[in-house]
Amino acid sequence: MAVLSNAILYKDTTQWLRGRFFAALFFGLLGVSEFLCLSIVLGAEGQEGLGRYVFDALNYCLGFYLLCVAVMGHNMAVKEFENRTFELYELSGMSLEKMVGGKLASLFYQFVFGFFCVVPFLFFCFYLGGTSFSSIARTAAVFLLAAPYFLLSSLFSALISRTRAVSSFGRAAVFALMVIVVPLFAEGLLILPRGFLGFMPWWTWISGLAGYLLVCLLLFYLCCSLVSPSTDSRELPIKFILTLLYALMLLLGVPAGSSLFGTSSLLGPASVPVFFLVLILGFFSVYRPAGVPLMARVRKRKRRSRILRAVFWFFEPGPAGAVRTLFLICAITALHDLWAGRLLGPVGIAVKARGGTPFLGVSYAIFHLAFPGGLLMAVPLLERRNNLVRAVCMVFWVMGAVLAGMLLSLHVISGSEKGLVAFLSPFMSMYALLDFTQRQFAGGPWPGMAALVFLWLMARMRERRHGRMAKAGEPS
Amino acid sequence: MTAGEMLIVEGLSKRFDGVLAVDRLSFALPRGSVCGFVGPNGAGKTTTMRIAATLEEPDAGQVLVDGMNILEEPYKVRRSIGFMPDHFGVYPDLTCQDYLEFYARAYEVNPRVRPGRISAIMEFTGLDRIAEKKVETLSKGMKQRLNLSRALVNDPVLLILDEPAAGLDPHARIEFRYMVKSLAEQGKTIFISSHILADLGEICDLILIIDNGARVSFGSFAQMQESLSPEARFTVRLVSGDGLEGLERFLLERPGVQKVAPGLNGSISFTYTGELSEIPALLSEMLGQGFAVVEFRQEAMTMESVFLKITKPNG
Repeated sequence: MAVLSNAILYKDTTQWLRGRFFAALFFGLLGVSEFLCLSIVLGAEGQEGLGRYVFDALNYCLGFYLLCVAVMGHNMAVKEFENRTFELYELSGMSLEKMVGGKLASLFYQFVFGFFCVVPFLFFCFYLGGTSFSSIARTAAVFLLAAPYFLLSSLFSALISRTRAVSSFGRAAVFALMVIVVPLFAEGLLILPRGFLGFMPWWTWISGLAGYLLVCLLLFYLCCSLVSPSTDSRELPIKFILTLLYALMLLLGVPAGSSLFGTSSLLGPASVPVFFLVLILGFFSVYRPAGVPLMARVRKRKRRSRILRAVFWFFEPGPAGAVRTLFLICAITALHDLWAGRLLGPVGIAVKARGGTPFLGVSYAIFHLAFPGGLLMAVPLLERRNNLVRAVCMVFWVMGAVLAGMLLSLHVISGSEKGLVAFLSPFMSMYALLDFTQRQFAGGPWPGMAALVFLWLMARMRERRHGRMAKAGEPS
Repeated sequence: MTAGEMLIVEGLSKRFDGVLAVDRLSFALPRGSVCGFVGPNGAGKTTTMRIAATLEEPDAGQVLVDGMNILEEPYKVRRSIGFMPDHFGVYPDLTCQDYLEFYARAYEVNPRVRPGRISAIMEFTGLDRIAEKKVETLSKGMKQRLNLSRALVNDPVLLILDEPAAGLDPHARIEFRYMVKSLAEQGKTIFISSHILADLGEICDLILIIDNGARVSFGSFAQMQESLSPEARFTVRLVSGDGLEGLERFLLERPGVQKVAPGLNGSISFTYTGELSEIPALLSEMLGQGFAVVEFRQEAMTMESVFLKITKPNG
């Protein structure tokens, strides 16, 4: 009921039902579905199993319709962002969750409208033969489940393309991430799940679904955070969900063999989204002004429960919370390494071989975030110049990649030492991550942790330096 | 703070990328007052208004709205203000009625009260006749009315209006002025920025002038006029220009009369340094001497001249 009373849902659906696109899309979809059915059936009269062809064609139709809804939602959100109407929603006291939730609900409503146009034709396929009822039901479920992620992605891309807080690099990386997750998820549900190491197949489904829901939730809060970065933030849930997702991937997904988290063939790519997420979110969390937006501070003050206050402290918005979160991620990796390698025996070794090692790449993302940051802390010129710090950090990464490329091409590093290039740049870590034959990460989760400790020490040193300067009466 | 003040700004400062947008600005608006906010482009007006509306965070200083600190209770502050920004976001395919219905829902106005409040606001702003017209087809003036209606949906005690008259034709400006006056009569405090100074001079009890983010002048228009031009200057116009020389001689002989100078269309201007209560006697003496006076008025500084004199004292 709360969703139905959402003001944005009311506005967007009213706009959509009154607009020209509604009629065009609705009747267009009906017309195209009917045309496809008739043309395939009449064109191949007497042939058996026609339903398969019609079914495939209708799936493309529905996919295209979903794309249209997503594009329309994207354009609408971009326009609203440019007109600064989100500010007016904020002034009304509407929460960021209600804004993004309302937008998502209205887009989903539009999709469901079209979806039910096509469903009768899907059952016509069953009548024609060539396709089973279960595959029709499964496809319908995939569409309904994938739609929120897809629509959230369109909202996210609209918001991220208009916010000044994110660079083109960040945008490109996020788009790449979005492209990777969808096929992994679809593959996980469409291809029969396999049991692994005695785990039941349903475990695969549950872990995959849980992971997918967390990814959607993460995307949802990322959208919320982009609505008004200057006054409000959703860093806390983002950090919390990211940590939970990571723990779930290692403890549930990898042993279960979920496709979302990595079948044997997709093991490397499956960890790439997480690698990217940690790198990008860390990049914009660690190297940013230390201040917490006004509304986030007010929410913190209003928390009464000690547990919630402690959780808030740990994942608090700002660089300190980001460093603590990254440290926790490293700690989870270390624990997993220990659990799989020492405690589980042969099963654990298989688990580790399957997923543990590639996920160590994530700790390298943390290393690449924290290590240059620690070095840059010592440079007074870069203080309070976050953009400059980010730029210098990027230069570190690019130079590291160039150096690694030279070392590899000149065969200075070869064989089992190839894993060492992962230390030089996050780009090389990705290379190591995707190189199935040489996937090795020296030091396991410890480089990331060590770099975070180094960053923390340098930050303390800087604080002390400021303290001394303040005592001496010098401006810090 | 006194109970009679609706908006208090103390030592407000804000920087953007190293540029000081607002510089230790302080002022207070009494309840029910209309305050015109004037300054050159880039003076920091919009930033100040956005800070008061909790859309920006100040670097220093404090802002109290109805006794609530914007940094302590931003949610409550948001509920008690109506903000009309200088931009207007149009939603295609929505009617005026839908638009206000949407914002009333956003403000979580009680569904039982909602229809009555929306129709009352539409009646007040004159939108009731075009309730079913689509927003994107409205004229600029009508859009501004709708924008004002939106700002009124939550029945705010403080209205912050950023450039509401920009781009309006004279008719729309006059109508808008009436609406602002009427809202002030209802007891709402109005903080309004505009470059159309003549409008502000007419509707505002107080004028706040800022330049480079800092306060230059604050007070009533009459106070500003008096402070800038302490001497009273008068203009006398005769039926024809024939008696001008005689009038000039007459005035120069009177005590307190200075700086006599011929003006346009058979008029003469002079400065009077004596008591203003003696002016009627001077006028009757003038008439007694046979001067055919058709106009006798005190010259007042216009809002434009006050603004120019304050912001460019040497210009």
